[in-house]
Formats: sequence, structure tokens, C-alpha cells
Amino acid sequence: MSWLSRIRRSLRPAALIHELEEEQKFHVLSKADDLAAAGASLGAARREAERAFGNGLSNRQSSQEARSIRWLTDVASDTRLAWRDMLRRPGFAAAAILSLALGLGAATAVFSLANGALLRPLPVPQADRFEFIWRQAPASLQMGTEEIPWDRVVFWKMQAATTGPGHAFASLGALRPGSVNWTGEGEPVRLRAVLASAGVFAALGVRPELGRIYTEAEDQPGRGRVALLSDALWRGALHADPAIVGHTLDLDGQAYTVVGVMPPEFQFPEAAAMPAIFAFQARPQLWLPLALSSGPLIPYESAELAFVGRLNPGVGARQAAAALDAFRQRSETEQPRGKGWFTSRLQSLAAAHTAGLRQPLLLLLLAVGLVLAVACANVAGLLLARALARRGELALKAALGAGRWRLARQMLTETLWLALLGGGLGALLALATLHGLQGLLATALPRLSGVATDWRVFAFGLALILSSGMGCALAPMLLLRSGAGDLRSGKGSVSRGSPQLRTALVTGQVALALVLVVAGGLLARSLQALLAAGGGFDPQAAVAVKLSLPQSAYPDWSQAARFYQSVRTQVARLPEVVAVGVNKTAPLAGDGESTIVRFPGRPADPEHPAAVNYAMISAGYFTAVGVPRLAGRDFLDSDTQASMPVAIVNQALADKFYPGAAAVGQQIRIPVDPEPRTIVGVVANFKHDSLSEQVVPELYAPITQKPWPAMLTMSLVVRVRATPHAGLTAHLRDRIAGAVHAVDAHVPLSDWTPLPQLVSRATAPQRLALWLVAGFGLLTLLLAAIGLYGVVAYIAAQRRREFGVRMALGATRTAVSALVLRQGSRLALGGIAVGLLLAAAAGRLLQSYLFGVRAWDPLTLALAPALLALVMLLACLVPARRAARLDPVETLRQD
Amino acid sequence: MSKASDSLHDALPLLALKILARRGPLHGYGITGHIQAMSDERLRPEEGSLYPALHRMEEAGWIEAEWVMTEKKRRARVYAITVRGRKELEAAEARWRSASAAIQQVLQRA
Repeated sequence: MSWLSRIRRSLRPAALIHELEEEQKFHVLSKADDLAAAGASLGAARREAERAFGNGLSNRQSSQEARSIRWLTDVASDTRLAWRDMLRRPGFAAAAILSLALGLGAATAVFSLANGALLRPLPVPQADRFEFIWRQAPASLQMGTEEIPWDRVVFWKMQAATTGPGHAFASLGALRPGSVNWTGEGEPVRLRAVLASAGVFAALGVRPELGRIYTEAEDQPGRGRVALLSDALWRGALHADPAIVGHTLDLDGQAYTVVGVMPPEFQFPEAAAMPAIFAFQARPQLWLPLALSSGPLIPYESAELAFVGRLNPGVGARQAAAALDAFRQRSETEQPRGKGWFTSRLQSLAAAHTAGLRQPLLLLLLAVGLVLAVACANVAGLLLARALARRGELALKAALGAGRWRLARQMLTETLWLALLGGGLGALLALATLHGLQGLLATALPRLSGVATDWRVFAFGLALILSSGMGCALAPMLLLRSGAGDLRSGKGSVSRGSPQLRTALVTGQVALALVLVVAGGLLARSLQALLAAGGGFDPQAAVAVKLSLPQSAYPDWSQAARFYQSVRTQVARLPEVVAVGVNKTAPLAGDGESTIVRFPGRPADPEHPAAVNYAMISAGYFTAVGVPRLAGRDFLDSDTQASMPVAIVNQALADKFYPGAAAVGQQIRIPVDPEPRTIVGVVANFKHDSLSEQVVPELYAPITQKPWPAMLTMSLVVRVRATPHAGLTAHLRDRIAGAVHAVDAHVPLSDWTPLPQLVSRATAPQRLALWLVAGFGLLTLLLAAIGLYGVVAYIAAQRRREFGVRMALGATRTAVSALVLRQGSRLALGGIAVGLLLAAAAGRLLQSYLFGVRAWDPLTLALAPALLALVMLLACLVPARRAARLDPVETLRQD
Repeated sequence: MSKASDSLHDALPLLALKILARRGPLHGYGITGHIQAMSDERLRPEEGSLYPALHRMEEAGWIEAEWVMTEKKRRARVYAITVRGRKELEAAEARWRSASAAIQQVLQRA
């Protein structure tokens, strides 16, 4: 009967019953005929025939069950059987459930990370139609960054050209990071601000939870004294005052009126999703009008804006890109000198959020998939062993008419229950570890720390449980297919047929474990190389702190410069201080400025402008950070505006622009300077963004010589005398703060960071990857060892008689042990060989996570298999010793 | 409905397949008759359990059924063995021999 007709039948029990009745009627009538033919009366024959047939109703039911309802009762009885079996063999059940719990728990935990990062909806309506418009750095610049900031004038032009009805964008906005000193009660507090034009909010299309968004009219130069607060700031420092809207805050000495409070999930822009060059800070606390002025650019006015826009309805990203390209062409025609500086790239908010996350998450999912695969292989191996042990029982059942499908279904039911229990336990494990993982992630990958455990995680977990359950049941079911449930097969042949399957499983397990161990090894070597390379400075016994000057008190850069000079003098007086200096940013903190420099006496090359990073620093900074000076001198207090303009360069700049010659004494010019600077010193290279970066040429000018608009926030670095437990004590912190406040009591100090912490923060993603992969690796190694142990122990048990015979014939116990070990190591070596091939492929995937080590790292590729071989040897030792302790007489007597 | 015919229940599919294989298509009543006759009336299939068993075998694809008219103008459901049924028969027969040999052995040695 076809499936279709069977289904149709099960849907129409009435028709089925009718058919059955007719068939049974035929039986009764035929029998009555025969009885009558044998001489019975017609009535008696009929009665006898009906009696012999039995109860018509109960038969009807059982026949119906045979086709339709049976499966329900079968599931119940299978379940009962499964539970009885599990309770009877608690060791087996525990091993299987634990294996699955580890695999499923790890997979669910990683999936909820991915869910939080990739699938969680953004708090912006139609996030795929909200676009970032990044300015692309001209290729000739070789800056190392692709996205660079726009300037004010381009904004007005781009807005005029691309926004409005019939254009690409409905609204365009500009924003940049900022920070303000808030003087409320007591000490002034530094707040993380975003300066955003009203167009940004129009493009976002978000609503505040209290009050309103500021208007276009309020976003004008000279007006703009309004503020939108974050939910966190409002609930924290402002005690969730419901009447906050309309109140004023003292920001940088100016009264700002609070117009609204944004909802808690609104954290725009998410700093981690923005190019580092913009230096947006995580979790902005308030949004202020950008109030862009519309006049022409001041010469060398710094470009620091990010542009955003919302596409007009019906406009696709491609059309918008075409509109922006048309804008580029027109701008380049109007300003031939700006050629190459108007290229833009669109990135939707949705894409920006997941950019750079897909790959690490994919890697994590892959790693966790391997763990799960090995766990499933373990359970499959256990089930297979069980199925073999139960061959007799299965064969008997089959001989008594139980169909193969019936037996297979029972195994499946049992496995699914194991998987459900394992999955449940795994979910608990996942919840427990996610908590810890979240803490680890918050520092390493802030964008991954948004863990969402919702219906998707539940559905994923359930799907995983079901599929892993079925996957595990596959092996013993294959065994059934191969006709193992055959009573004919005598004892001698029991070990045939099945070990191939288990051998394959174990080989796979060992191979996958090796892949993860190799990956862990490569990441460990990479981290080691990274830490050995260091940041180029000496982080020990130094601390950085941010100083923020209120603009109203320091309207002029020279006052700011004087303040920092006084702070240096005051702090240097503390007896434990060795050196002190200031810079715009702390080491490894990311952001920095860059400029194009000229060399007097050399023709300018417009095709390849000499781009360098540059920074304003004070004397003593290099000593405070621990960067060695290679030539010349440090800045001096005598380097003032009245004296010769000076500069210090790093080794990279000296090597690139003065190859083979002494850089000290040479002249270099920053376009904004009226005259060239003389290089007075060369310092060693040190890193700004990450330990793995390629150091670029850098130029330093003294704060005492250079007008610098952004000097209101500087990082003060203090190096103290190294003590056995050199750290940032509260006492030292108070003394430094005291020295700063002796100069100006209204300057807040924030972000106290010991330099070693900067280094560990910079390596946090690598350490996270290492911990996760190494953790998964060890887990798989353990699971594979258990798997190998199971198989070797099983095969050894099968060969007991053989061992007994061998011993009876004079084989030593060591020789028998060796037999078992040899069999185990053959399995392990096979797995290792396959694993090495897989590891080669996996190493290529890992390439972008590696630093200073190749995917084919000989040390890792030698040590990882050695570790694996050792663990596998240990796994085989127990069965080998057991075989050696066999009593030959006993084994031979058993059969 | 003795105890002896109860134990036949498990072997019923095997016997039915064997008979269909040897004797060609038969209706349920015919199968019962053959079992009785060939066992010298020692085996009497419980008639009520025959049909559920036949339907399960039909579901498993071992046999096929077709409605036909008998000479007495009665509609009868006639069963025929399929290729899969023949394979199953072979396996089931082997299982049975092996099981009964095993049981025999236990009975002797116990």
C-alpha cells in the first residue's frame, strides 16, 4: 500500500472499518459454508463461525490501531521502555546525558551570543534604510584606515545635492563625538556626549521616552543650548526626576535646557560599530545640537564629522550610491585640488552593526559545532556498544516478529529522551556560563556582550536536540540495517560489522579534537607573540588619567598649555614620581590625528602625499610612557613660541623619509605651521590602536609651541618608582589628584588606568578567542578520550577469549597489554593523521586572528598531536591493564 | 482458543508469508485453512488476530491485497506476497530456525 493511501486510510477510519467488516463477514460466511457442507445445520454453522471468530468489536479496534492510532500508544510504550532502560543503566545514561549536555550547552550559549549580536532588532525603525555615508580615504594616502571624517562645508553641499523630495535621501545629518564637564552638586563630572545635528534624529526616526527631540531651529550656531539625555544618565545622576524636561544643566559653564530623555535601548552611535578614527565613546550620556556654522572653512579646520541619512521611500542603496557619485564628480570638477577626497561608501545601520562580528561568530559557531559533533559521536558510540550488548534481546524480538522499524523507533525514542535530558542540562549550563562569559565579553568584544535568550534560542536549542538525538541514533540503526539482529550469528562473529562504525566514529572524534587543539595552540602562540612584541612602551609602574579643562575657563590654547606645564611641575614634585607628561590620547587608546607633511628642499609629490600621524605632547611624555629615545633630545621647557620650532619623530618616520641619513637636524613642515620644524629627537616606534598594528610614521610637536584646538582634554601619564607591588594605590591617586587640583580645583580627573591594564585591554579579544577555543579544545579532547576508551575497552572485552588462549600458550601479560595498546594507538594515529589535514584547512580560516605565527606553525603542529597522542595513550591504559590482569583459565571456562 | 494457539500469534506472520509464497494468492480464510490443514489441525490461528496481523504485514509492504469476486459471488480480499515479503520470509524463517534451535538447546542443557 502506498504512503498516500495509508494516510488517506488513517484519516478515514469509518471507511477502513467498513472494509474490515466486509472482509471479516466473508470469513465468517465461508466458514459457515464449510461447516454446513460438513453436515451442520445452516443456523448452527453460522453461530459456530461467529463464535470462532471472537469478539467483532475488539478485533475492529485492534485492526484500526494497526493502522492509525498505533503510533501514539507506541510512543508512550517506547518512552516507558526508554526510561526503564535508562534507570537500569544509570552509568550509561549519565555518560550520554553529560556528553550531550556539554555539547548542547556550549552550542546554545554561543548561539545566544550570535542571536544577541546579529539577530537582535535595532532600536531604529527600518535600520536597513538608515545609512552611514563614510568618506573614503584616497588610496594614495596609505593611512591604514579607509573611513575618514568629512568636513562642515561638504555637509552643506551634499545636503543640498542629495536631500529632499525627488532626491536620494529624505534627511541627512552630521555628528561627532564630544564631551562636556557637568557641574551639578560637588565635583565637576565629565560626560560622554554626541554632537548631532537635528537631521540625525530626523533620519533615525526615533522617539524620546520623555519630552521631545531638539528642533532644526535649536540646531543653529549661537543657539543650541538644549540637551537630550540618555536613560542611564537620567536614572542615575538625575534620580529619574520626572520633571527633568525644562530644567537646566550646567555644561562647560553654560546653561543647557533638557528637552527630552531617550529610551534605554537608544545608544546611537554604537561606538564599537564606528571606525576608530572618529573616537566615539561607548554608551553616550547625552546628545547636544551640533550647530554647524555655514561659513567657508577656516584654513586647516579639522574634519571630524560622520554623515548619516535616511533613504527616501522607493530609493535603493544603489541609487543613493549613484547620487553620491554624481555629487563626487561635480565636487571634483569644482575643486580639482580635492580630487579623490569626495568618494563615499554607504553602509546601512544594520550592516554596520554586524560588520566585523560575522567572522568571529562564525568561527565560534564552527568551534562549538565541532564540540557538539564529538559529543554526539560519543553518544553514538555508547549507543552502538549498548545495541551490541543487546543483540541477543534485539534478535529475539526480531525473531518474534518485531519489525526493524519498530526496533529502530525504540532506539530513536530512547536517544531522543537522552538528548532532551542532555539538552535541558545543557541549557542550565549555558545559562550559568553565559553569565560569566558576558563579563569576559564586556571588556573584550563589547558588541558581543548583548546576549539575548529569547524564543529563537529556545527554537535553536530544540532543533539541535532533535537533530543531535537523531544523529546519535543513526549509528545503532545502521547496525540494525546491517542485519545484526540475527540470531543465527554465533558468538564468534559478534565483534564483526560493528567495530568499523565505532572505529570511524573514534577516528573522527580524535581528528576533530586535534583541529581544536591545534587552533588553540595557534591562538596561544599568537598571543604570546603579541605580548612579546608589546606596545613599544614599558607599561609597568605607570598610570594614565584624563584631564578635562572647562572651555569657559580656558578659552585660549596658551592658557591650557600653561595649565599642563604647571600640572607637570606639581606632579613631578611628588617623591614617588619618576616622570610625568601629557598627550592627547593614552597609549593604545585608539584615536589620533594625521596630517600631510612637506619636506623643505624636496619637491612635493601630489600623487603620493606624505601622510603621518601627529600628536602634541609635553616634555617628559616619552619617559613617562617608557618609550626609549634613540637619538637627539626630549622637548624642553625652553622650547617656547619664541624659540626655534622643534619636532620629534619616531623611528618609522626617520626610516621612511630619511633612509640612511640622520633625521636629527632635518627640517619637516606641517602645512598649518608658518615655518618648518627642526627634528631634535628620534624615539622608538610604539603602538596606538592595537598590539598587532603596523607602526606608521609619527611626528610630535611640543604643546608649548603649537596652537591646538583640541587641547582641552589630555591624557596625563605618570611613571612612579617601581615597587614590588607597583600598582595604582588609592593613596597615589589622591596625591596626583591633589597636585592637579593645586593648579585648578575645577578640573575633573577621569578614567584612571594603569598602563598594564591598557595592554591587557588591547589583547582582550585575542585572549577571549584563546580561552574559548582552548576551552572547547580541552572539552573535545576529553570527549574524544572517553570515546577512544570506550572502543578500546569494548574490543578488548571481545578479545578476552583470544587473550586467554594466548596467555595459556605462553604470552606474557605485557604482550597482551601491548596488543590492546597497539589497537588503541592505531585508532588514535589514524585520527591524528586525518586531524592534521583538517587542521591545515582550519588554520587558513584562522589566519586573520594570527599574529607573528603561521597557520603551519611547526611547533604547534608537533606539540598538539603529541598532546593528543599522550591523552589517547592514557585512555587506552586502563583497558590494557585490565587485559593484562585476565585469568586465562577463567576466560576459557566461560564459554 | 487454547494456550497453544496463543503462542502461535508470534509466528503467524511467518506462517502466512510461507503459505502465500508456496500457494499463491489467498484470502484470509484460505490462509487459516492451510495452517490448520498443514499442521494436522494442531495449529488453529485465532481468527480474530489473523486480520490485524495481515494488515500490519500489508502496511510493511510484505503482502498486497486486492478485492476479488469468488465463485459464490462474494467479495473477498485476496492477499499476495511481494518481493519484499519474500525477502522478509527468508529472514524470518532463518530467525525462527535459529531461535527455535536456541530454545531447543536451552531445553536440552538446562
